[in-house]
Amino acid sequence: MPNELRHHPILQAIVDQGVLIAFVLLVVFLAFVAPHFVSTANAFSILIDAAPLVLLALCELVVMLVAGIDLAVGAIAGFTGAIAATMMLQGFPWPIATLLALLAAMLAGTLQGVIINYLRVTDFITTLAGLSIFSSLTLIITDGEPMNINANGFNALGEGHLLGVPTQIWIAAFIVLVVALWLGLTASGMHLYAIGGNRVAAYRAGIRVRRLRSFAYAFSGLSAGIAGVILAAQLATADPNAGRGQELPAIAAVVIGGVSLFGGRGSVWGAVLGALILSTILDGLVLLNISPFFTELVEGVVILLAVMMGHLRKRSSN
Amino acid sequence: MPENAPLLELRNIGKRFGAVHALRGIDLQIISGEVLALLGDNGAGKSTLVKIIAGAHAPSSGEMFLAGSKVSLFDPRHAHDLGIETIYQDLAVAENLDVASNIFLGRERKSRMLGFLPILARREMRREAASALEHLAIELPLRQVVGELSGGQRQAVAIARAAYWQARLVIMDEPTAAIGVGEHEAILKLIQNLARSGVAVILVTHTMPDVWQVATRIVVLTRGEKALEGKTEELTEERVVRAMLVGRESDA
Repeated sequence: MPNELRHHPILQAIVDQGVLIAFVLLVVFLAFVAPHFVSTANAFSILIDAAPLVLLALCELVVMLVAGIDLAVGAIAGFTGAIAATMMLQGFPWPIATLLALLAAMLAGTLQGVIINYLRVTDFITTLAGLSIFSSLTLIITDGEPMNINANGFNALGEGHLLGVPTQIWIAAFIVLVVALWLGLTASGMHLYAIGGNRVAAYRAGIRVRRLRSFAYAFSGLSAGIAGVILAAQLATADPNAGRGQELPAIAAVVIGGVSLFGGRGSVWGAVLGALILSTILDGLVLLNISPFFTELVEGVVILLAVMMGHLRKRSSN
Repeated sequence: MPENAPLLELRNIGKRFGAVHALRGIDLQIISGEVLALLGDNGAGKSTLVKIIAGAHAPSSGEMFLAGSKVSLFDPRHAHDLGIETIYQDLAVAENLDVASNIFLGRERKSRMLGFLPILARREMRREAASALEHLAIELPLRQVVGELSGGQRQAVAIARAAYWQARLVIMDEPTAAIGVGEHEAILKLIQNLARSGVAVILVTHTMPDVWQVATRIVVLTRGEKALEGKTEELTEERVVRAMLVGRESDA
């Protein structure tokens, strides 16, 4: 592409806001071709599906900002649901069971962070091992059977409504807000970007790189745990396979949203938009009566398109 | 502290890496406001010495005194706290952050949101960064991401950062190596301005004309030992180069 064209403001705007434009085009397209796409019920249905995905995408966003990756988010989500269900079965009140399960999720994330940053095992291997370990622990805890959850308060987290909006949407929106404030307004949020941008510079500037990177994984564990609570609550069941395989859509969502796999680049806005695009596509497939066997094929193609789009964006900014 | 007492004094500093003597018996004094050129061939021990002063390496032997009191540096953060800043050749800046954020990186100004939540005081930092740049006569777009700046501009960011944080000693490793001809003079001028404001500067370089243009004193290291030391105006390039190649004049 010739230089003057590449820097043309309109083209630049299209490239910069590519994700948003893609989302709008997608919605317009589905509004025309998919029956019943434009309705409040369907909008809520997309957002309900998107809620846990958004939380898992936030996990990936935060660890990818520090040039990491977390393959264990789906497994930790399932693990958290199983722990909460078991504790409720043991007679713990649901708020305590939920808090302790979330604490366990955060601990799981912290453990991964410490192994990656202090014992220097690569993030890929550590979280791949985490994926195996927490999936297996979930099977052990549940004995491979779905566990019913009878606590109404807990189930309301995935079935209830507040001001006419499903609870899990509120929960996801709240966490999105917290993370947006963290990344945008605080020093530690900016330090995540600094570490991803130039780890050596961050270290020399006195930023405690290993501690903050470990904290990113701790956050990832916690956010995955909240996703796990929502997944369990909306089915009133801790499913032994809950969250399984969800790391891929989570990574896809942030890649679609323009988060760099190499660290230092990405926004909450992008991660949320990426998750919404993915949920909308999957919703569209259902409405168009396309076999679920196509789901992962579509996800794969979308990831590739997003990465190629990202390259274009990078080239045009250089 | 008496006038002209050394800001930093090294006594008999040595460093071994296993069987290798990287540095041996280094005595060195540096005074506020001077530009000390640290010269030597590759492997002469310059970077080891610089890392010891910057707190990145611990010396195997010897003592260091900062403004008359004995110090032992364990990490770069500690060196920062004592007013020692190092500007490395690879210009460690976060390319994805803007100029003001880089100047304040690791030491951000904060304000309280809702009375208790500590948040970044971006406007205040931008204002302070602007006045720091103005003080050193540097012109830079504060909101620009550093990755989009030229080599010389990045160097200026690093220098402004050190100056803003009231460094007492700034170590510069090959500051003119990575930048274009057009910006070369500007950087040298900046180094002189920095020294004139009372900062001691250690300049590590291979570029001889730079040395005679800005350095007030020269120290030559050869094979881990101090081979030559003197005021710039009393030394010739020939003597310096000979010291770099063959070592101490009495040995030759």
